[in-house]
Amino acid sequence: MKVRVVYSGRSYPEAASLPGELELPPGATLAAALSMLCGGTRSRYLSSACLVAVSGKHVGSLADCQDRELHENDEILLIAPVAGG
Amino acid sequence: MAPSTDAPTVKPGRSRGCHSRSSMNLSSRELERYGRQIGPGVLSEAAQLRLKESTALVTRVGGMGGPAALMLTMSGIGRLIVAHGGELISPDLNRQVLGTEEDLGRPRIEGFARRLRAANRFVEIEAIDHEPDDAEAAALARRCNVLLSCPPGFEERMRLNRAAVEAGIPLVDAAQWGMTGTLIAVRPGETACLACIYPETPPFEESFPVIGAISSAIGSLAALEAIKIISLTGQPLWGKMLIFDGYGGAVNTIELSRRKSCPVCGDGRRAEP
Ligand SMILES: [Zn+2]
Repeated sequence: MKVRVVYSGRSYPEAASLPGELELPPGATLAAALSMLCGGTRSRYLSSACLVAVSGKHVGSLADCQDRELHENDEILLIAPVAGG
Repeated sequence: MAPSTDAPTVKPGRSRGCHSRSSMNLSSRELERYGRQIGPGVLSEAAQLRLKESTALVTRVGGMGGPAALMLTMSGIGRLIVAHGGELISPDLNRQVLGTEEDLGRPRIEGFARRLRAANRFVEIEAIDHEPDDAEAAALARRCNVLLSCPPGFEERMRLNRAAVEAGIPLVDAAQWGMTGTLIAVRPGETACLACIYPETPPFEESFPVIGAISSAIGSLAALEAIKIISLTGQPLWGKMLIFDGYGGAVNTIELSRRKSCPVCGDGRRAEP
């Protein structure tokens, strides 16, 4: 199954080098998807404070989020926190 | 210019504003001023009166807080408290809409307050020349109906969040980086507060990139949220985060989750002594 991945907030300049879509086995979990997204050299683009939302629902941050089963066409949104005034 | 003294024409409506001033009304001059924003799809006269009966705090009043303060002032809020320390420097002027070339090198708040007062003679502007600490933020929150958090870092945001939650008043948090921005409306005790969302204070650089067009856009949207909240109009972004990606041309809204153990609004709160 395919899920979309959207990057926003502080990390958008690096988003071009990150995948916008993941191919996952049926029944794959959010934890598995995040592990694929944040592994290796990619981790430097995505801080542990990044908020995670699945199909419009906030489920925590990369450091601590509620795991769940993903479904075809789900959208994972990663928002690197911003605080500029 | 002296405040209008013409005859009142609209009686006060029911105000849910927690600190409303009694026996207010809208004068014919105020009705003329706000004529384009009173009507279908905008504000009712009672909603406009609720704005007049309300007090908001905006801190700080730079890239986002400046346009937020200006829009609140122009909308006819009764009293606006603005806080910002330091002196205006040249790099501020790519985004700080309340600043002018003439004010360079002078305390920011003086010129900012002057600009706001010049925008609307019906609004009382209270200027504070520094960023409030915990105690002052808490005291200010108790005088306000809504708090707009527009500072350039997380520490101040968390302080304003604590003050709003303690006082039980709504918080609108506007934040920005580069060409992107976020907006959150917190209804204390009912929707996620900033400490629910950020269990650890995220890293953030002091000298962040910004272009004025995005900070003004997010600041204006923050003012719109505050106007809706205090005038009881429309549907505020309660419990949601709006993410405006100006670089990619995309807008997302997510539903935020409260955290049971939140140290500010949840079970993690310290017991009262
Ligand atoms: Zn909370």
